Amino acid sequence: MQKTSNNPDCVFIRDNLFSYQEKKLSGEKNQKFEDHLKTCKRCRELVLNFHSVSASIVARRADEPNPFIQTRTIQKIESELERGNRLYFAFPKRILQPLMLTTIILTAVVIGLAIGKQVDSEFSMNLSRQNDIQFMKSDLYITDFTDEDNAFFDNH
Amino acid sequence: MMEQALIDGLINQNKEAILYLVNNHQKNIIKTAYYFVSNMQDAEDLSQDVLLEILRSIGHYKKDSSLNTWIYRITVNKSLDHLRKQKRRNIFQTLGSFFINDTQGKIKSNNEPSMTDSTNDDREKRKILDTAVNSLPQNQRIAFILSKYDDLAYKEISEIMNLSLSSVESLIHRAKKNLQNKLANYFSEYAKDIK
Repeated sequence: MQKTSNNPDCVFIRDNLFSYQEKKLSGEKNQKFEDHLKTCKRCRELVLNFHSVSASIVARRADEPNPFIQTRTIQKIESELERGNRLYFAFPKRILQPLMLTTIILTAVVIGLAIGKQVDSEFSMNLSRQNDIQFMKSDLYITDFTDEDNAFFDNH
Repeated sequence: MMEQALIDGLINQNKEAILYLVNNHQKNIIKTAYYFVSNMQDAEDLSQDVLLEILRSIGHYKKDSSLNTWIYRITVNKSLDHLRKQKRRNIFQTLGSFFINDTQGKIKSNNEPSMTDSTNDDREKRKILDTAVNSLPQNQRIAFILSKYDDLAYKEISEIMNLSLSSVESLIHRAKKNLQNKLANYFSEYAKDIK
């Protein structure tokens, strides 16, 4: 049996399905096309199937929309116009959404930085106080601290 | 109504101009959107979005192309946006149903053709063609749909797509070639299956 994909004549049929259907093949090519169809059952089936599927393009053109769609559309447009004439000034969603998201993220970052800075300054203040005490202790050559000494440093 | 008078009327939100726009253009908008999204209800909703977009943007309309061409461009863009959103929605629904294990929550395919006057056989044929057309690269798909479904001349398509005439010819040629191969493969597989 002939295989549609390998035989050069079958390839010729496959490559010219639209041209044959649209009657755009030259006389010689048209003859070649039809001669092959007489001998190849698979190509005959392919052409029939192709014709029936591509006929659905024409069938689709015949589908009609809802007859009341125009009335509904006019009502919709009027209601949009009545709503404060927003049509001209409506801010596009695709701009508004990223803008909102960026603002939220930036606000969160600024708040985070402010909180972080505050905590950092408190921590560094505590740290410098600890350093001062250590320095005083070492400067006075005190190696052993009594509870009384510790209380003194804590109070000052 | 003359095109300039219509444009001025739309800029001023004149009721007569809006009525003219809806009565004379909406049907074409629906048809074009329908050829892209394959669902009449979605196409009708899209046509309303397109008309509202026209009213919003008419002030920015540059007269480098006809109003009709501009309307086609908006319709094609809105239809492609719709398909992209639909694809995203389907992915999320698939993931959702996978995690929730919702056996009843089958994803509604919005690519189902309109049920009006269509037999099962017709629906099947439309589905085969839709699958093949939707698998084409975007520019080939737009050019093919505008040419074969909307029956527009290559020159009009080139203006809508902002491409040269030869580019459009080449896109349609490649689209047809791809479709021929896809459909031939489909039918040869189909023939194997039914044997």
